[in-house]
Amino acid sequence: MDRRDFLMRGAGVAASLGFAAPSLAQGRAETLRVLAESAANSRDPHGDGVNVPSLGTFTNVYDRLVNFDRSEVLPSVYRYDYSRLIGELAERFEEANDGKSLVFHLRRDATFHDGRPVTAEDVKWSLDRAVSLPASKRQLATGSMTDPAQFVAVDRHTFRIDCPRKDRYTLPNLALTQASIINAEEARRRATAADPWATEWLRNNAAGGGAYRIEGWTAGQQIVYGRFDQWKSGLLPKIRRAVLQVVPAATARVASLQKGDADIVLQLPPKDIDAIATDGRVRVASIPVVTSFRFIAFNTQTKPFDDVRVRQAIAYALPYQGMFDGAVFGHGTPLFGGPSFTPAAADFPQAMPYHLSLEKARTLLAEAGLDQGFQTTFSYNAGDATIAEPVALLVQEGLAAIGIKVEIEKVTAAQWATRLTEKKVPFYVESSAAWFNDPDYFFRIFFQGDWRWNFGSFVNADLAAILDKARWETDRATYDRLMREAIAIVFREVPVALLWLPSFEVAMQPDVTNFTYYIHGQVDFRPITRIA
Amino acid sequence: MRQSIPAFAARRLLAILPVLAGAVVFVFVVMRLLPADPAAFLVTGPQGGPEQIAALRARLGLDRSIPEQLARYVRDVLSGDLGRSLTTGEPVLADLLQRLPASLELTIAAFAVALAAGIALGTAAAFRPGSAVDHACRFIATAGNSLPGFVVGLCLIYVFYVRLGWSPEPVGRLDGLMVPPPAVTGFLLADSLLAGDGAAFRSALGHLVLPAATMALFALAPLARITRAALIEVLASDYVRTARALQLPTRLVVVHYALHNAAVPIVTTLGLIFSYMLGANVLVEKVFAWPGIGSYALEAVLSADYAPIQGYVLLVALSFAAVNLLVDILYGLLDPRARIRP
Repeated sequence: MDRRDFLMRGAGVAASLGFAAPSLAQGRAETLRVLAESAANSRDPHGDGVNVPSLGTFTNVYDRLVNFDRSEVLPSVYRYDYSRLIGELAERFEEANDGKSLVFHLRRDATFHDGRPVTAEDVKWSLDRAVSLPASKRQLATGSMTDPAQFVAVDRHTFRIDCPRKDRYTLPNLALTQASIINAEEARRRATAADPWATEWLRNNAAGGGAYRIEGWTAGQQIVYGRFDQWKSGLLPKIRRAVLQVVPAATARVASLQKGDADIVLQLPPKDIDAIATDGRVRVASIPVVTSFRFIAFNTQTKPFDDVRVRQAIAYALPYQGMFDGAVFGHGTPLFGGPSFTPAAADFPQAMPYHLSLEKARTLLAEAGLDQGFQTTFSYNAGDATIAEPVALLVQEGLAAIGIKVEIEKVTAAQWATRLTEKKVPFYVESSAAWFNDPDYFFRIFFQGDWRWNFGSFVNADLAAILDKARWETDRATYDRLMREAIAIVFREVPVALLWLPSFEVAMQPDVTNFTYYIHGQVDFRPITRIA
Repeated sequence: MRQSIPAFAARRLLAILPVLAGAVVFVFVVMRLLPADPAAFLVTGPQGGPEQIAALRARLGLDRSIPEQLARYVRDVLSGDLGRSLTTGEPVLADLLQRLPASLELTIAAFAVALAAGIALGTAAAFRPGSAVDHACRFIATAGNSLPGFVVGLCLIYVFYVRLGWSPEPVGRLDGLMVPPPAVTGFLLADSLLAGDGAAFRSALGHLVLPAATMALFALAPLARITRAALIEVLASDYVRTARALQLPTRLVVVHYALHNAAVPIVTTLGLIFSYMLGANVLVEKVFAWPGIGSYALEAVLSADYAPIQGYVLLVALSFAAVNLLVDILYGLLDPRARIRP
């Protein structure tokens, strides 16, 4: 038997088998099959080393006190609305004590998966845990929650949070997965003297009361979710069974979707999205992620990037349009070529006022005493190569025009994080996202502090003063004025050159409706319906 | 002095231990020398600051000196604990044991196909050098060597799944929503037969065809070439000429005299190929979302996850050693001279 013969016969055997096997145990309208690049690695919402897919697991398996409301952005596709919060485990909530306290009235009929009623004690234990463990502590601190003493179980179904002062970030933090409510009694039983928060046990066991239970967990391969029929924190979901399966190759995920074997496919590169956008058999949704940005960063503390004129020169020499079209095929929102150095709006990220102008670039370089150009290294993360590699090549080509010789360095994904944390990369392309939309929150993460997320290692006293004032500013007009000043500083100083706002993209079967996008970009099975 | 087979095997087995110890220490040290900090990698979002990285380093024991880390690791390995994977959140030993059967099942299936096809092709080519069969053999060998596995895999998926629809969805080992048979051996084909689950058996077999074919093509090339070369040499030897001159039946000449004597280099190649297939089928596993140890290790390498890489290397070293032992024993059986102690 030669190879060809073998293949033909093999495929023939497969053919007769493929259709014989029963593939859907339940009605199609009640099941959902999601294909993703990787799967969750933890069931502990406060665990360390938790990857992004785990946030999807937490969303479905645990409840929070509150959730973001949503608004329709495309026909039957929604996105979370950061400005409007609704009760989840809390049936209502209100401010008290001039807004310094928040009072939550828990649903009286809510239970955990084991049937135990959810009480204010569970909520207190969960939040005590969240502010005590290193992985969740810092996030909740951004909402003035730092000390277990702030959390008070008033009675069985009333829970109160006391903050030193009224903080607009307290409520949104409670909608994040870091504020998930855990079955305290069940978890406490697994706690030990060395591990009082039962971190070892919760990493591999879920103890929640969310809309779904984990029915099957094959690490790194597949997670099977079954609906928790007694769920009370919202309308009972239509999807009874959801399966998330890991399919590393994007091409294979696309093939499954087009053949109708997969219902929702995540993490497709722009090229694949474009390829299926015209295919009538599937539906593609593209949602701008307004808390994220793709940018080119300079280490503003090292030569020659410590000179603002050099950074501005580069910002004038980047072939923005070419990068936007070549690297992401125009998927996203441009953050270049803005109208003015004086921002009209107070939101961020917004388009920087730089555009390709080699003349301005040369003048600025000459002013910096570098009219002969210089040599530098431009780095990117190999794990991000689909987008970063074309960007790097275009940066190299673009900067050659003003005499800057760029050597490209590709850094392995494993090393990238270490190098950025150690601030050892002078000039690179990267993207990131914050949890919340307010510009002062965004600026505090990305344009200040001695940590990885201050990508430009930017230090600016004026900006720091503005951010301190804006933190507690309650008057909208004053806040907006402060933020416009802050944005103007970033425009002028260019700690990073903004490129574009990435889009979250998902491809699905046309009958999948009510898909709701959350900050973490995972699938929330709860609102999804399928047209029968 | 000629040894008995068990004594011969025992001596070879002892020789494996230093190899394993060397592999463990070497990989451990190399991983620590790489400039990648797993803690920095894992703290993925802006909610994580330096304190969180420090806390994670302490929990992972990375704040200790390398000799101390090594001593602890060796102690753990000897007690059967290979550490925990940060990528999957599970113990490495459990992950590997769960994934090894998947890799073995795929490798064995591909190996069997490659073996049958490769030896047949090589034999046919050796008997008629320069003929159409010989050219076909050379063509397939070249194609198998030069086409990357994932290209072949993607082509097969496109043709047999997307276009023709003959193959089931090329994802994993079973249909997405099918309940797997109770795990006894971990080999789905065997387990589904043991459970008498015909649907699962058909699904598992259907899922195996394309990835096995992809891998077989890659393994076929060296096998066909070695078989051809070894046979041509043997066929030109005095004893085959004599056998032919004595008008012995062709079948007897080919199978008994020629193939038997050509077997030693073929078996060596087989051993090499099998070990190599087991360790290097990463791309095929990736393309077909096959939950094997290769893709597991690759994922770990990409995320600076030490424990799974160390566990994987140990496991692959063990299987290389086992295959080599098997090859040595086969040698001993095929050619008694191999058992003579110098």
